[in-house]
Amino acid sequence: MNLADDLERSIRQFQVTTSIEMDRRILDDAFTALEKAMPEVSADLGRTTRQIVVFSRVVRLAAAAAAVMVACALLFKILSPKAVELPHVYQALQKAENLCVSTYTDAEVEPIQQVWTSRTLKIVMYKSQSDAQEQFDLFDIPNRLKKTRYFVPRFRGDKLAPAEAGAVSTERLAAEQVIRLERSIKDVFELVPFADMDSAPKGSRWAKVPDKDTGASVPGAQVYELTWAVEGSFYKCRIFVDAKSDLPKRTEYYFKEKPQDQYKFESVHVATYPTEKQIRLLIREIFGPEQTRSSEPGYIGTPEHLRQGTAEKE
Amino acid sequence: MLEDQRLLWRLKRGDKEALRSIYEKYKDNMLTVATSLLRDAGSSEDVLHDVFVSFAMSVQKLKLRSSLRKYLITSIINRVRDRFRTKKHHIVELDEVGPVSSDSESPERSAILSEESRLLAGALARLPLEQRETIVLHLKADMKFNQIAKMQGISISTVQGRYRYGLSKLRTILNGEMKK
Repeated sequence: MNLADDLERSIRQFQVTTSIEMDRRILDDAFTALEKAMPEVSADLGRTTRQIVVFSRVVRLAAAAAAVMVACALLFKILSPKAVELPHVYQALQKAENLCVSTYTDAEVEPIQQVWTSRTLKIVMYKSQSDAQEQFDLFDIPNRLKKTRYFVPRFRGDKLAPAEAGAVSTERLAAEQVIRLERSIKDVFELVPFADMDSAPKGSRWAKVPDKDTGASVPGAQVYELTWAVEGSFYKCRIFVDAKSDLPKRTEYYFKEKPQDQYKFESVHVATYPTEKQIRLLIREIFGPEQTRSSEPGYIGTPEHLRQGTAEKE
Repeated sequence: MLEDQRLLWRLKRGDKEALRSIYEKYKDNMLTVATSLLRDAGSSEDVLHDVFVSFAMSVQKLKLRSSLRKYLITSIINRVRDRFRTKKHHIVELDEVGPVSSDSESPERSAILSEESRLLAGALARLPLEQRETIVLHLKADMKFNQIAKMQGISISTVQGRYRYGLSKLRTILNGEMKK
C-alpha cells in the first residue's frame, strides 16, 4: 500500500515534528511574554519594613520587652506542632501513590469533578457531571487506552433509580498522549497552585493562618495561606495540611481584583488518599473487570458516501 | 479537555510549567497544520512561534468558547491567512511548483519531516489554497464540513466539493511522484 491508496489516513497520520532548537526558541520567547504579562507583586504583598533604630531610653526598654517576647515565642514554638513549609507539601504530594481530588465551586453539594490518580497502577480516572449525566474517563497508561462511560440518571415516578449505564467506548492513546499522561500522574493537581516551587511568581508569600481564622474545620490539619499577584489580580490559596504527613487535605482558592477588595471564594479541592485496592475496585465497578478493558478500538474512516464520491469540479 | 482546563487554570495563575505542557501537547499538531498550509518550513515555524508567543501574552484575558486545541489551531489558520494577505502569496497551481523547500537559516532550526511526510507536504503544496485548506481543516484540525463552511463563508456543498476534488488531485500528484 502506498500513500495514494489510503490518502485520508495518510494525511491524518502526517506529522511534522518540531526540533529541539525550535522548541527552545519558542518556549524562551513565550516565557518572556508570560513574564511581561505578569507585573511584579504589588506593594501590599512584597513590601519590606525599613527599620530606623534610635538609641533612646524608650527604644532600649522596647528592646528588652522584645527579648522577653522572643523567648516566649521560642518556648511556644517548642511546645506547639512543627511549622510546615511549602516545599514539604510538594515533597509529600510527590511521594503520594494514590489520590482522589474532588473539586467544588460555590455552594455545590456534589463535586463538579473528581479525579482519581494511581501512580502505582499508572491510571487516571475523571468523573465529571452535568444535570443530564455523569461521565467517567479512564486513562489506562499500561494498556494505552482511554475508556469512556456515561451514566444517565433514571426516575421511577418521582424517585431516582440507579443510573442507566451507557456502553463503554474505547480509543487508543497516541504515543504523545501516553508521554503526557505519564508526566501528568506525577502532577501536584490543584492541591497546590503551581507545578513546583520554581513556578511560583516572584513575591509569593506563605504564612500560617491563626486557628480562629481558618473557616472550615479539618481534623489534624494546620492551615496555611499562599498569596501572590498576577496581571493585576490577587490570589490567595488556603491549604489545610495534615500535621503528620504534610499532605494537603483541602485547598481553597480566592481572588480579588484590587488590593483593597475582599477576597472572593473561587473553588475548593478536597483530597483523599485511597489505597491501590480501593482504586482497582472503583474502576472495576465502573468499567468492568480488567481483562475486558484492553480491547482494541477500530479505525473510524470517512463516511461511505464521501468515499464513493469521484473528482468533482467546483 | 479536562486536562486542558486544568492547564489553563494554572497558566492563568502564572505557572510556567503549564505553558510548557500546553506547548508540548499541541506543538506538533500546530506545526503540521501550518506546514500543510504554507509552502516552506521556515514560514510555518514563524507562524507557530508568533501564535504561541501571542497566546502566552494574552492568556490572562482568554475566555475559551471551544476547546484549547481548536483555539490554537484556529489561531494558526488565521495567522497563515494573514500571511497570505500581507505577503500576497499567490495560489499555487498544479504545474507551477516543485517540491516543498525549506528556507530555514540553519538545518537544526528546521522542523523534522519523515520522507513520507515530505512527499505528502510537497503534494499538498501543489493544491490550490482553497482545497488544501479544506483538506487540512477537515483531516488535521478535525473540523466538520459545516464548521469549515461557516469559517470560510461558503456553502457546505462547496466545501465537500473542494474536499473531494482536492483529494482526487492529491492522489494524482502522489501517483505521479511514485512512478518517478
